[in-house]
Amino acid sequence: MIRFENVDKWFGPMQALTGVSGEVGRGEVKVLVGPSGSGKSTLIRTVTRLETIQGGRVLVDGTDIASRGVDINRLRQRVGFVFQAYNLFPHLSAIGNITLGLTKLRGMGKAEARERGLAELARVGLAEKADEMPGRLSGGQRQRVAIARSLAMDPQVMLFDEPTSALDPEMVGEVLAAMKQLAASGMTMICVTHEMGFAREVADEIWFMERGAVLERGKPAELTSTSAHSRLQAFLASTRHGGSAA
Amino acid sequence: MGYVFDLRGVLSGQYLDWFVIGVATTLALTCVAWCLAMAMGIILTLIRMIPLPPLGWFVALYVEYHRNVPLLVQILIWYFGVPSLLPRPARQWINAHHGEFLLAAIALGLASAAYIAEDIRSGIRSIPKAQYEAARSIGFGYLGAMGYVVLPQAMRIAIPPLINQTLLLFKNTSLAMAIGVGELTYRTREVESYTFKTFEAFAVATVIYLLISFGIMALGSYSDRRLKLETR
Repeated sequence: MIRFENVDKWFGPMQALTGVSGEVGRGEVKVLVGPSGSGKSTLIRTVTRLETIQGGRVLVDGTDIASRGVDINRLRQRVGFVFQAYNLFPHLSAIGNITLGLTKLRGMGKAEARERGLAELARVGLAEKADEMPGRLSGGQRQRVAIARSLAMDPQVMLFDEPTSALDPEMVGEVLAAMKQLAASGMTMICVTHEMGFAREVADEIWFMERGAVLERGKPAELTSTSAHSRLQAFLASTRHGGSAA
Repeated sequence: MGYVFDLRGVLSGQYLDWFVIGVATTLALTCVAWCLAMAMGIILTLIRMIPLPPLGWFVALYVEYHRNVPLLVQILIWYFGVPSLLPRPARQWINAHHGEFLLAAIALGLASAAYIAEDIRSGIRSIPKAQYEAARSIGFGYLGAMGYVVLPQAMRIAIPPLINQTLLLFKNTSLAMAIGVGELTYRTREVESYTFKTFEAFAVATVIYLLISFGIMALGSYSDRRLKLETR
């Protein structure tokens, strides 16, 4: 489904990704963990070319996304992206955020788009908030609308860039619940997150990144069990966050 | 002194008619120039966002000319200069169809566009890049992201300065009297020279200008309140 082949990424003189390789199969959930600045977000941003790469290849469904024939706007419709800061459009209601892409990009009629949007909102438990403006929603609700906005475009993959990091603790659960449900429905997902409980429950594999490279990868149980002596273990022990979630 | 302030003289008969025509002309001039200014302001903003240096220079030149040359001079150039560049039939058509109104509207609109373009640009700058990125990540191209996501927000943020520009434009229509457009100030001068009621005539004009200005401000703050974005 998604393949990274020796991906190199530079920000000026700073190398953000160093020869990253890996594969995400259809229906798999990969969780990316690591200290800040380790390249987790950068890596998933390369999948939709929000970041261009200087070396290697990123393939989606076998196609190199940097190749000439690729219509990037079309590709982005198939790859959902959820941001840490939600990035809802504040001038549109919750349902308006969702239907914008459906009507303008998919050419769907207004009524049909609204119906579709309502279904997506119901999926994340927010059907009754359809006509609220984002400014009147809580952080957790906004992030769920953002997830619904991506899902409405019928993506084959969902990318999550620290979707709960900007949330108050009591709102983390509702967003994780929506993500777990999505994983259970068979969606292919790459999640950058510090929520180890979530990782243990739904991840097929955890990738531990540091300084732009994937240092370790493995099943959550192997990497996080108390007997394991992994770099991830050391990282979790060193962060209060990881410690409390363990 | 012995001066008797009496409004009845200037507010009756043909003088009242002149005021009414003057107000109507002022409003029409404001509306036509405003539409032109908004359209041109948006076009200038879009041109400036294209990453080609000569286009940026063109817009910068446009803005600097219209902000630094006195508006009256710009109006006179349009009235006396531009028609002479046109072919004879076009000139005759302009003369036969109140060309001074049209040329004044163009001069006022283009000058106002320079300011409006700056206001919209600072509105766009205040929209976080993440909004553009989010639109792109759904699958919108550059134009879609700008048109559906960035500009609608930027225009809302630009409402207060745009109201200001509208007020300035409205007041500046009085300069059009210099080329014989029969707007409010022109008509007031006429009433004054027919009746010698200087204070009365200009008192009426002042009150009318004030009322319309307040109307524009009220309309502006209403739309600002209606459209204001609730952010965190």
